[in-house]
Amino acid sequence: MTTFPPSLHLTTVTAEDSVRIEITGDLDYDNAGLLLNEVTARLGARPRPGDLRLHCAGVGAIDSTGLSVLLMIGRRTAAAGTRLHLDERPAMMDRLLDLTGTLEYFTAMTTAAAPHTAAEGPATT
Amino acid sequence: MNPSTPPRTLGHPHIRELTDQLWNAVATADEYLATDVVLRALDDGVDPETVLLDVIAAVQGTVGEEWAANRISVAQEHAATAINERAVTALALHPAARTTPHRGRITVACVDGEWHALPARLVAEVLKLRGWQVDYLGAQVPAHHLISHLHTTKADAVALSSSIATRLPTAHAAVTACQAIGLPVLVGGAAFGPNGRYAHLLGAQAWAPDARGAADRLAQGPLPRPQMDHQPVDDLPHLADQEYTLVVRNNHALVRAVLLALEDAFPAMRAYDDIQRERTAEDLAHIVDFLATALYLGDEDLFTWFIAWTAEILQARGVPARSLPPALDLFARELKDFPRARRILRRGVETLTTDSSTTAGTPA
Amino acid sequence: MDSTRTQTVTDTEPDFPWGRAPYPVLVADAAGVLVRLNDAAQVLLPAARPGSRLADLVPAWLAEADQAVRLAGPRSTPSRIPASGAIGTRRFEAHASTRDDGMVAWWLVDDTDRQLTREALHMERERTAFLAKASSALLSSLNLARCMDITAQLAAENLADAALAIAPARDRWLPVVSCVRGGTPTAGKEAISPDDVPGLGEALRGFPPVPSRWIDPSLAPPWMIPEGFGPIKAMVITPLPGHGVPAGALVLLRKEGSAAFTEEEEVFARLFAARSGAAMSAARLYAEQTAITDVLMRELLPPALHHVAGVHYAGGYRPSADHERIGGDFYDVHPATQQGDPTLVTLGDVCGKGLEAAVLTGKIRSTLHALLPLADDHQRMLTLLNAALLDSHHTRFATLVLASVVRDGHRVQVRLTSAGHPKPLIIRTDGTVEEADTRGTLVGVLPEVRARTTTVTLAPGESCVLYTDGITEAKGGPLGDTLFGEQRLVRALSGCAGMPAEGIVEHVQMLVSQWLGNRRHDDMAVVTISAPRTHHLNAVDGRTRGRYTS
Repeated sequence: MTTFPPSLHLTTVTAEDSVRIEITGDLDYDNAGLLLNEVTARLGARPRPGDLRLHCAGVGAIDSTGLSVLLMIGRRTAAAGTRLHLDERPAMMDRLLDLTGTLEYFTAMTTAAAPHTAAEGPATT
Repeated sequence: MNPSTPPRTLGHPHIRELTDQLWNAVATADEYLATDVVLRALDDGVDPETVLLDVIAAVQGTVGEEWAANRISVAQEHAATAINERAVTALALHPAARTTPHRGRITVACVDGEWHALPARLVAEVLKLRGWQVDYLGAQVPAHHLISHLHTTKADAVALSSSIATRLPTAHAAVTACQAIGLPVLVGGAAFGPNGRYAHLLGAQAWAPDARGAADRLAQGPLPRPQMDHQPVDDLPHLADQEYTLVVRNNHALVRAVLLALEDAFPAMRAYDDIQRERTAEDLAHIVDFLATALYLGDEDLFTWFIAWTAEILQARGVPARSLPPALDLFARELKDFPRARRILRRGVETLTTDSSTTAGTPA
Repeated sequence: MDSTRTQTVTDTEPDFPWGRAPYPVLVADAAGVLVRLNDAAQVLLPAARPGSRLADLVPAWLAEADQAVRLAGPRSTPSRIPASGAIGTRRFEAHASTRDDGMVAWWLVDDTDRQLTREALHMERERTAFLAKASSALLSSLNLARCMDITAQLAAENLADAALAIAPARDRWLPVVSCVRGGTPTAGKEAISPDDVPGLGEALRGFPPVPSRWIDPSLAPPWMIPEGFGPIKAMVITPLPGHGVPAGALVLLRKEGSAAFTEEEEVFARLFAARSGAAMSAARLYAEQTAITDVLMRELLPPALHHVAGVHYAGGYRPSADHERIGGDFYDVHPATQQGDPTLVTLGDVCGKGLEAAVLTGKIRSTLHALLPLADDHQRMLTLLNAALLDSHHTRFATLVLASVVRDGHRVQVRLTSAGHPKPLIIRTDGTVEEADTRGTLVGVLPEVRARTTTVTLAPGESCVLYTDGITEAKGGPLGDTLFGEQRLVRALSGCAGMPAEGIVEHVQMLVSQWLGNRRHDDMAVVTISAPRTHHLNAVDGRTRGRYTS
């Protein structure tokens, strides 16, 4: 009677000044927290990455909790001075971002995130 | 949705007339007129119970018949039901229907998944008229809610309603849950079969064919207390073969497999649009639901009755029922290791070929 | 053969070596005349003398057994179950051995203690079975009144002629359930002070700790004596200990003519009291918790909707978890404070599920309520709501629709603003379903919110449907993995033209619930705003079946 959601798989690839997290599975109430933990861990690393790329092609479903987590990631990356990219978004993800009026917000983050790289030294928020 | 009682002209000469007027109001979705008819009847001194059961319930029965005959749509059936519900509400607020509880306390609810609330509502209102204190929980009551409600109130008995036979396994769970906390259960509604045969099978303390019957039974004296050491599984020993469990668990895979096989058998189906395809899949899913219920109850007649009824409904909608036997055969092929299921399906095919028609309540 | 001779002879003769055997031995000849007996037998049957007929000396059961052994003859195998019975105050098992010449020797084995043990065991088993039955009956219910019924009834059936279960008073009324053996429990309330009855006050307070207490039956107040019970022979009050708190008291009554309570019975009554006390106390705690939850929950439950200012409203809600009644979806209809002003309808969805989400909906609903005076400016309302919800610690957001509804003649004007929420759908008279042209940002996370408002006009019989995405995201269908989707919703609504508001809500709920089957789902809410059909649109001649039958 209860169907358990497929778990969420994250594959993290760290390059020189950027971190890429490949998301496979559902960003939902049961799983989205995993992504937030992963991102938080990466943002805490030194040197802090200049770009965080979330590769979204493998996102199966996204619910309001998933969106809430993306918004939290948006807030944290902005605070850390890291640019957030939501790459290869599936159509339904775009629809959700569009419906909730957050597409612009995420797009703006990609281009306008603070260009200074907080590579060294303590974070200034 | 059979009328719980056939319209009666006894007792009051205007009942037939009132029923016609209410039907008119309901059929034209005129809720004001519907309420007016009911309130005027009460003002004229017609007994509220008569209005509930011989007018409103009778009209609701006609609504079901009209739907089965494809003269109204499901949405229109809903509209009509909503108007009838308002008529019941109006009646309940009329001074003629005011009573002070002087009997016991009864909880009335529909089992989970049952959205036909009106029969239960009628039971609740009739019991109130007869002096019971009634807690009416409405349609689709999950067993969890029902039980926590029963823990916080001191009901003497529970009246459970279900009109859809495929909800019987759920109804059984609700019945045993109530009994587990020591409460006797009276069941009613088309789901429990002709003469309530499934009510007995599922261990209910009592069955009533309609609201009047339910009220009469409760008036006769308290229902027997459930036996605390009774194990529900003893009533359904055939469940040990796991056929029910496996069919339910794999119902979607079954529907998918049979849908594909049907397309091979009937190339015309490949031209179906999405909606037609979905309708077909829904029909197949419905067959699986009834098959599973028949497996649960260990009752083949339930399935053959459903198949005969489906053939009738399809006919009323101008759809030839000739795809039904092949579909049943395909299900039997998919379920080759399920002897009970295969026997039930075979009986279904026989029903269609011998063309016995039955009249019974709606399964949906 | 005289008595003096036998007495000296019994234990010395070499062919009768059982003189000093610890078990009584009796030997009778083929005619049933006693020939020998040993010392132990002589003690047991002081009147026995050789030469007497055995049948005259021993109790009937042994005489019958002797008869049976003789009839069967020497070669018969002895019965597997030896004869047994009382001789004097003790019980014996009798074992016979028969000689070829018809002489029968009876060995009597004292069985008294074993028999007593067996009886005690039987009684113990009965009591254990009763306690087990009592436990399962008591534990089945979390309802205090029902637990009291069960306590009084079980006690009356098994421990006394009548029993009363008394719970501690909540006010000046003492809840009492009394039951006479063979009767049904009757509940009542007594306006008395427990201290007026000796032992009752202590039992109900659970302090000072007291065992069961014998009460002089003449001190029993009239309310304690069931009607028609007659004079009382004995009465005992036992405290019902709960989980660390007193759960009440059990009063047992015995009629004139019944046996008084033995000490053993009293101990047993205490064992029963421990079980019923635990059950009553659990039921009481459950009732208290439920009452608290109910009060808190009431604020979070969606309201019942009806007609407001000439417009019809209906709402339906199904939380994601069937065991919960609340969740992350909400709706409200706020009538205008000034006549002629619009009614404000809100429907929304906060992210997350369950109680946590429900608490946030409570915050949003009360904020919106406070902002009602600004209801004519949706953008401003949203901006203020956004500011109220912004929190640096989390990004929990809400999406919602605001609808300002006012009746304008037969028509209804609806001003709609969506803040990141699925667009409302409008059902026209001809079955066309339109999307309201409004959009905006969600509230509670971003520093600014922007929204575009639209106005729609509903003709009589037309409806505007607000819903949350739990409806369209419902996954199921005949193949099990298809989203219900907006298209299917639109198709369903197009069949709802002219339907009353409740009918539309119920129809949507039914379709989605059928679609889902038993699968998991999100919170789901639907609200319908309907312009009432004008009175008696159709000519009624009493026969026409109306346009639906066409």
